[in-house]
Amino acid sequence: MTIADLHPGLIEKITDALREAGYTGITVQHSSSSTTIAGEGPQGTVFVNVIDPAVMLVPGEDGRFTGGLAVSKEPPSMAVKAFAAGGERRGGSSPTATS
Amino acid sequence: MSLLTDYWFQNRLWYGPFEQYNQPFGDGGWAWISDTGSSAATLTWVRQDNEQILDFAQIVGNPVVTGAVDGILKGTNANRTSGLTAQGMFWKDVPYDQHDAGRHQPWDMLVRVYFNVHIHTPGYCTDADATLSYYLLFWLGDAGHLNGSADYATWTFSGGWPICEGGVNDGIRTAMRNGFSTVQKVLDEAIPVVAGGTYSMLYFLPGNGTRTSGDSHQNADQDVALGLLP
Repeated sequence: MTIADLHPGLIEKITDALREAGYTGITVQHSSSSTTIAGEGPQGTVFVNVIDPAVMLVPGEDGRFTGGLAVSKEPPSMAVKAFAAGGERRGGSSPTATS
Repeated sequence: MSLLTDYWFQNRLWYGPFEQYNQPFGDGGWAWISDTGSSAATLTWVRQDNEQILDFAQIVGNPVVTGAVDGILKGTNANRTSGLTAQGMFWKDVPYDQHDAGRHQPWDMLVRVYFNVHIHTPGYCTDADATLSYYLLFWLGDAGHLNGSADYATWTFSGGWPICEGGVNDGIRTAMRNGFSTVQKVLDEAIPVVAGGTYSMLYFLPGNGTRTSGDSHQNADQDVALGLLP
């Protein structure tokens, strides 16, 4: 979901306004969290960055941005049971008895 | 000789600096370990003498592995600025997307392989520095063969200011998504080489899994070992 999807027609209105103001070479770059419009004007290059709080990136307390992504397949049902600390329990043992 | 191993973690279970002590003992015998220092958490393990150890620091340092990771970055604006490091991490501590919270149980352990990259941006934005992580699952199949799966990816970055953060984030996401197949290929090729037998049990150990008698100091953030029993 991009800014253009969330706000149909908005980017076009901004680019039209820039053209009417005399800006040329207008480019639009979409990312998943913002849209950047650039244009050349008599005073130099101008950038308009359009953001929406619904999709904008928000840094964590450490000032860094974080993302996560799962592989497209479900995890194997037998996986990840190699070691489990047992939550709040204070001990654990192998799942089967050993001699 | 079997081995009694105690781990003392300075700060929290399975993270950061820890002390390890190994005490061998004979069949039918017993062993004890004492410690007078303070620690935040401890882990004790009785280890059989036929234990096979896979030290991930050695595996991820192999040029075949680092070369594959560099292949993931090929064609992107990023270049690797660190070696590869592996650690064991509970799912609850993975900075997963909230949509993926139920993918695993909170205390399930994954092997996190991580490295740093520098990302170049257009001249009007600051460059970014990121830490990229892949999370691996391991399990024994019905026939006792070791299996591994590239399961999850996370990244953190700073930079890209003032308007390139979104592009940087999207670029990383695309590279990481495309990299899953590469990581899986490395797993599929490496496992038969380093652990091609049949096994009855596997488990994780913090650090390099050393069996050397006595005391040692390691960091659980910087290495993890997989133990396998025939």
